Amino acid sequence: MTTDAGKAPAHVEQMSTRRGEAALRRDIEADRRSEYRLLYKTAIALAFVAAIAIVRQAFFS
Amino acid sequence: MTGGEWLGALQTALVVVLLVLCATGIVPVIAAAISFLAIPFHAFINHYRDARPYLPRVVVVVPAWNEGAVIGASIDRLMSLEYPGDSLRVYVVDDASTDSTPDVVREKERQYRGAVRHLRREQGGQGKAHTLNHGIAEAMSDDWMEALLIMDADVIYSPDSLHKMTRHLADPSVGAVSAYIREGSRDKNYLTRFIGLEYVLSQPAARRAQNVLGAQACLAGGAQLHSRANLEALGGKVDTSTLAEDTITTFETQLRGHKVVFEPHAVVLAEEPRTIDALWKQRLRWARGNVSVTARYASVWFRPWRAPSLGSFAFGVVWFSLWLLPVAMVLSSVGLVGLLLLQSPLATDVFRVLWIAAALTFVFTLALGAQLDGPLTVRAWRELLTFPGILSMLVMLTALFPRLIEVDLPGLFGARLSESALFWLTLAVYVWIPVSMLGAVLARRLERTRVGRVLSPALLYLVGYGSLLCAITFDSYIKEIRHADARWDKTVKTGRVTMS
Repeated sequence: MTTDAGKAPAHVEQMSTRRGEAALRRDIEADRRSEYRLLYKTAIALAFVAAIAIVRQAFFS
Repeated sequence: MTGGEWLGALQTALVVVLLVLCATGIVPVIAAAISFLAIPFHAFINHYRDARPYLPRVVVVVPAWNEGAVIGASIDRLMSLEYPGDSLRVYVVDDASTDSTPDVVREKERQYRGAVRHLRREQGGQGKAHTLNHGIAEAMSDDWMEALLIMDADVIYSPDSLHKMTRHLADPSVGAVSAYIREGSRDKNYLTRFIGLEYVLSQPAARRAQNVLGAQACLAGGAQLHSRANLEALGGKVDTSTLAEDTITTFETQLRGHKVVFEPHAVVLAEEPRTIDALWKQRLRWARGNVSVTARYASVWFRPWRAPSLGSFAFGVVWFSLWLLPVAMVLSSVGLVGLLLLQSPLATDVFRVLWIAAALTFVFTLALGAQLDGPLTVRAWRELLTFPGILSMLVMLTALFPRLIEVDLPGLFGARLSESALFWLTLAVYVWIPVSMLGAVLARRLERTRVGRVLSPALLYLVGYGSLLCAITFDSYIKEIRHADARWDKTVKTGRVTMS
């Protein structure tokens, strides 16, 4: 890959080196860990549902 | 049996039939709830443990028909992806363009010597699948290509998206990887914001669930990465017999034993329709394609012994719940109205069960979906709050808080609903779903008129974006039954996508 100036960007040159490989490993690990956030996001969404159910039971049943 | 007893038995039988009709309405609601409840399991059931740093030699195939306005910038952006330059080639398949596309691509060929190729089809207009096959055949003709990315000419890949996709191909059991197609127009209108929200619900949300269930319904047309082994298993080409080549490719990949992985962190921005009419044409094509897919794989559905992933019960329910959603909604309304007219005391209870379940599922899916793409949902907060439709939300409130709607609200104005007013209100609420679909049809018609620019969006906010999609799916049934001409209507793209 070359830019207009004919030189590859630094991040691309690093990509196939060992340093680049380590960065890619960290990226995979970061994305894997970020999936744990789905747990609290689901809990928040369920809290909305619970709040509606509670309001209905408490005031309109 | 006396005449009265016969009549009683007949009425009981009729009530049972009507209850079954009503029950069809709860199936898609349960399917959506189960699907979204599967999402948190993606924290544990995902493909990251088998992903490795892997940078195969990738050929990007870009089908292009009169894409002169966007193709140059698309190639520039592909060339600046965070990916080794000597492992990336771009093949633009020019489908007999009559605009500046050939000149622009040839210029890019000169600029990125050896990395960009212009492939010209002189006999064009056969559709995207034929155009793709031209590029795939060229890429397969030598051993250089290890993976092939299919994309659309107008989409923008975020710089890290390609290497986030290729890492899954390090596992040879993976045949294809899809990315998150995100609505990315810089000048959004109400419809593109609705579409953006829909994409959040259908991709980072629902496709994560499909990762968990072990079967993907569809690779995104503008972002599908295939291993060479998978393309060879597919015969080196995509299906050209239907309007759903992406779905057929996805199914065939999985039926041949390869996994399909959705990568939510690889983001690809796409331009989506700004008018109901353009959206209708696009989605009608997709919906008619799904009719063909459903028929083609009739021997697979609900048969896990034939196809463990696609044939699973869970995947079948998810697929048919979406495909038959309008039918389920209409049947459910018919059942409710029937119970009401029979003066069955069950009518009110059944209505409440159906609509309370729908309301809570809507709240859950929207609340979870909104968190999966915060910036997009913040910009589309109006569409998020009105996603089911303002009138549909009133129906939900009637189910959840009947006294509030039927007594307290009229009481604020010193009014009290009479028996007959209550009956007509109830009837209106029970037939709301089919009426809302007609409302969506009207919104499309109005759009073509002078007043439609204001009325059409207002009507869509009232009836809901989901009703529009249901109406389009219903239209696809009619077109299929009539064997209407199925042709490739290209969605017009004007280069409105931006990374910021």
